[in-house]
Amino acid sequence: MIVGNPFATAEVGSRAPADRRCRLGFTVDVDRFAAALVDADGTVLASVEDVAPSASSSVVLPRALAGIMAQAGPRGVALDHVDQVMMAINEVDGRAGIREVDPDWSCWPGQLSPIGVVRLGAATTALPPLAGWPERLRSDVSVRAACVAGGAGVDGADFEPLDTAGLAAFARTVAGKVDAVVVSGVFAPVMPSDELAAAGLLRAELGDSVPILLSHEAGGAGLLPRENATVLQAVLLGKATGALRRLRRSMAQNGLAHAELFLARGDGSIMTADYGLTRSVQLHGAAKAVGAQGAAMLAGESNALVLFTTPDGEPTAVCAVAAGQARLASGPTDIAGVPTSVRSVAVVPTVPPVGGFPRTAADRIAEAVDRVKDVSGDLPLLVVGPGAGKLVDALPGAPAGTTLVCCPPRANAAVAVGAATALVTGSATRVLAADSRHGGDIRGKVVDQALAAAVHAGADPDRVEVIMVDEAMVARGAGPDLLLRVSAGGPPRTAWQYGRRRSPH
Amino acid sequence: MHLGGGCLHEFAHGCDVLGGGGGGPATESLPLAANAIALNGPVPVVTLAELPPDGLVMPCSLRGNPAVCVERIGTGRESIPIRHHVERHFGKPVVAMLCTQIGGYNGPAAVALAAHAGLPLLDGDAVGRSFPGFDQVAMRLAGIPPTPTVFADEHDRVVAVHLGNRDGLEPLARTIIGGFGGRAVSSGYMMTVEQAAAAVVPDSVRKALRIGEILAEPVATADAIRRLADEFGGVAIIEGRVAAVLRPTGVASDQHTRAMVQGTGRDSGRTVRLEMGHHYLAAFDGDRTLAAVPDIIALVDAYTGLPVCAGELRYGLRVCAVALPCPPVWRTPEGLDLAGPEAFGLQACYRRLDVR
Repeated sequence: MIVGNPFATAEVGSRAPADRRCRLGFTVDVDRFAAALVDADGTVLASVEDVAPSASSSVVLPRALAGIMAQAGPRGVALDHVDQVMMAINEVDGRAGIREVDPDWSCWPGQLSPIGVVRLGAATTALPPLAGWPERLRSDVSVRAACVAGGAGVDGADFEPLDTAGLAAFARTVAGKVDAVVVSGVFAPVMPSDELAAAGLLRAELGDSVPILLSHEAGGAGLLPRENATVLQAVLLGKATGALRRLRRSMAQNGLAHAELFLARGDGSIMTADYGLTRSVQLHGAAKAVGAQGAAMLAGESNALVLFTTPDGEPTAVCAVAAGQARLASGPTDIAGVPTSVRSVAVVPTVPPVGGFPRTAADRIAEAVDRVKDVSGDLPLLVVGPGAGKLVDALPGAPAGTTLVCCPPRANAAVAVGAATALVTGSATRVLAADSRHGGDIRGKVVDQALAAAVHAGADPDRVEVIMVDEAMVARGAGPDLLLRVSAGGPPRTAWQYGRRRSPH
Repeated sequence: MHLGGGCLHEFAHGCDVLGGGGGGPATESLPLAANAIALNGPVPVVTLAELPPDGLVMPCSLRGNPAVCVERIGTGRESIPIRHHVERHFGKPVVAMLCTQIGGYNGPAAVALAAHAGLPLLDGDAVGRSFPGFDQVAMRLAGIPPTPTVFADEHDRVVAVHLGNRDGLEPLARTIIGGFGGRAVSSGYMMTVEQAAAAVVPDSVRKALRIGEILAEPVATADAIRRLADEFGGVAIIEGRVAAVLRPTGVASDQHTRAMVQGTGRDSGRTVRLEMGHHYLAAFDGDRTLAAVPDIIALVDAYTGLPVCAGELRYGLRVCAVALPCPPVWRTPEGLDLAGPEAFGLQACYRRLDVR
């Protein structure tokens, strides 16, 4: 596996105009907010962290901007210099008001979008769409869920011929009753053609006003977790649209009309708001992921452990950073009681197990530090969040398994710094026969797909690069196969005015 | 007794313990079993005494590549064409389904397959744990012929293999499953109820359920594990942290993964070495063998209280390891020949669990 940061050598400064172009990182977590202004070189120009007057980002933004500009203004930075705003949140389900997660939330009509789900794969009824979901959530959102013939096999050949009549019949039963439709196909990430064809048919029946979400765009192996992730995204579409509209309006009202909005993802990267609108579950864990990376950047470490705190200086959880990137959990991510294909940061809470030791805060931290690692070896422990200073002062020394414990500069705003400095990434996966004669061509195509995916998510097309290539042997039956995974990434694209100035044609 | 929706979580967690780290996660087939029960009602769990002696017992399991099985989840109704084929071939009715292996994915999967086929589930299985081979089943040791072995995919395509007196099911099975695109439900070693009395591992379903109930009790995982060991004549091996997982490099399939578990709490100062392949194969304390296949070695996460598959074991996990005795059939010379330490490439000789 090749892991590297493509931007270490990129000539960031040479292409910037005389004035300072900046990014604003911004996060709201229940009753606290943090913001940070970072220039193109990654220098933090200003940061704030404080009690939030509301949990709504659009209400908190002016307050954050006032704090930021009070520091940055005297240094010659104006709001005009802010090209992008990067927003990070932590949990999707709690925020979305899904009752399974927050029983006190009163779920009013229109909160969660009513949806229809059609699965391409008639012979997959061992568990129909939504069948494993918490009963109440399903009855809140599901208008109709069905399986029709379609999908692909592991080699991309037809699993079943696409049932166009069945799709049309499905469309007629949901027409006028749903806010969105999800299409999930067997092996759609290998061969998405049936999902694309189904989307065309559904659009012809339902018109252009009903969004159609396809599971291969959500991605991930496993029909059920991929389908679940896509359905949750459809369910949250109305909510996400409203939240983003309010945030954009707030940006416009506060002098940031020209800036492009990006959203942090649970894997520690960012995506444009437009791209993220239909991928809202990827926000899950984002604040922890970019917070860990931000802490590492602020401390000048590329490999570290990052401990999050409450304002009282209580530890909450530990994440790991390797080569500047937040380490991801190995398994699927449960959201609202549903397993999804979302890959998100590995988070180890500093909570003791049932009936067990360890007891003191220092014990709990030492144990969480060990549990979050994937190999032995001491690493620096960076403490961030509103109570970072307090916690470091209270600790007797560096916990076991760490080289040192420290509170990096601007530790309270690490999440905002991490959001402002994250990369836009994309990836592509493909299984091919180990002895394929077209191996070279296929590898080239997968690389192209990963680059395109990163640009689609909002990476600067001029500066996107391959950041990771991984090939692993997998057994698939007849012969050995290769699982090829490529990730690409780059800095966020800049808003159109700036782009115009750069390229006069 | 019936298996209903209410006790399925416990049953699945018990299946994962009996899987000994292998057999695929039972928690993945759990929703399939729950759905089958929601549609067809609870599945009766019967003993041999409740069945007509000349009725057929049909073992059933899912076989295939995990990467295919997570996409092609099937219908759970693959057992129906198999049942029809078997009844036509033998000219008599199938009266119960037998879970081929209780350990891991195929435990709850058998519940789904039985529910859809409208068959009761025999309280037993063919292994008492999980093993990777088609032939590593108790029926083989009892002299039940493996064929006809019947394979079905989710589109009701059926292939039956008849070997006569010859061996060689495994390569044929691989070809058939490959032809089905990497997934099939299969049934072999069919037998009468009368034959089954001496050929199957009894009580596996109740045992899995009971293990899951013990794990579900609101006590520290180490205490639950000790209770488990006491009740089933096993040994609590160690409570500790996974201090290293050394996976073999390259494609050499005869090499095992090794893991070191460093004791904590009352096991402070001890270290146990685990050898594992598809499942946990042996546990050593220095030169001393604490447990070895075919006995069941299971690891349970101290934080979640849930079993940890061999493929998921990684540095830093807090685990409690337990060894449970395998069914007696695997301790016979023939059983050890088929599924003892040497069958899995271990040098260590098998010795019985040292129960104090």
